[in-house]
Amino acid sequence: MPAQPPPPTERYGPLALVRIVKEDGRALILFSHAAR
Amino acid sequence: VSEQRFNELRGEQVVYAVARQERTFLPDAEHCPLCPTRPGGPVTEIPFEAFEIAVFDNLFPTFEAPAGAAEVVVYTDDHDGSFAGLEPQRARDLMWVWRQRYEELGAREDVAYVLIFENRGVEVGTTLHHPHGQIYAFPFLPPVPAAELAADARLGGCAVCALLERELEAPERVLYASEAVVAYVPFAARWPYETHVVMRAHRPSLVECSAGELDGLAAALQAVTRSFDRLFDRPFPYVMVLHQAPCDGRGAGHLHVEFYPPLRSARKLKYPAGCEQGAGTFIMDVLPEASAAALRAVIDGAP
Repeated sequence: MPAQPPPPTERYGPLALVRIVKEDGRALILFSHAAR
Repeated sequence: VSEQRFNELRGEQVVYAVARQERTFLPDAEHCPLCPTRPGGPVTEIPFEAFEIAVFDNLFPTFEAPAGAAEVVVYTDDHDGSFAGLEPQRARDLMWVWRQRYEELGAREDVAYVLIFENRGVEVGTTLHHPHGQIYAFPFLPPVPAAELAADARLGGCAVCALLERELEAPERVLYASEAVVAYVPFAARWPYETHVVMRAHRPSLVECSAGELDGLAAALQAVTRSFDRLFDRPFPYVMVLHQAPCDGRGAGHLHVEFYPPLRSARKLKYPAGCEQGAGTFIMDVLPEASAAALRAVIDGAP
């Protein structure tokens, strides 16, 4: 895995999010405040 | 894979998730699975050096597809701290994360109810100290929201609306009031400092809330949790649960957040013991009005 997450691919309200599949197949979603 | 068995005497489901017996138990900060992954350090649940809010499938799920889901919501990449101590913007963002997960999980065919909660403190069974909460997407409607639907039927309308109106008529148990949200110790609290944070307007779930109402909810929840920590000048354990509409098409529901704190004084716990477990009747050592007065004295935004 890279040290930095991939860029967001979706928006939800004021948030940006990116969906990642972990090495064991489990889902991980990273939310960030879109204004930043 | 968990197994459900119906307990006939209680009339309720019991879930056996035996893999959870092996889950991580109170690791030190160096081995926290919810911290970001540091260069040269162990790979954690979040394999990046920094993040804001992360949600992932629980490694030890109580429910999993195709019969529900279990997720972990990590509020911050800072190991130390609490929900109360989050920057206000982060708390507001968390409301949107909860909303997104409720909406997405609730739309699934295999999900009947979405339970968003936080267990804070070893007194309520926390196994990881890093600030986080959990989400259980139930494949069935559990007893507490079912009881709330029954209360609606008994009162001939939304029970939460009716109870909020009663609390506001004689506000001796009200702790906090803003344009969108009211917090109070309920008339028949089952825990010494039980507190309900209720949307003033009838909103079945986070999805129906405006951006301003979500901001108001975040501010109220932080005010309440900060007052808890001030009350005995110590980190205050609690169970925090969002109550929202079921997702199985039964409708109803009124978004509110209930806190069940187990402390009855700075060092004494209220145990659900013989009467509570054997009879289902809670015995309280303190009146809700006295608890409310104590919390009102230390909360920001008291009416």
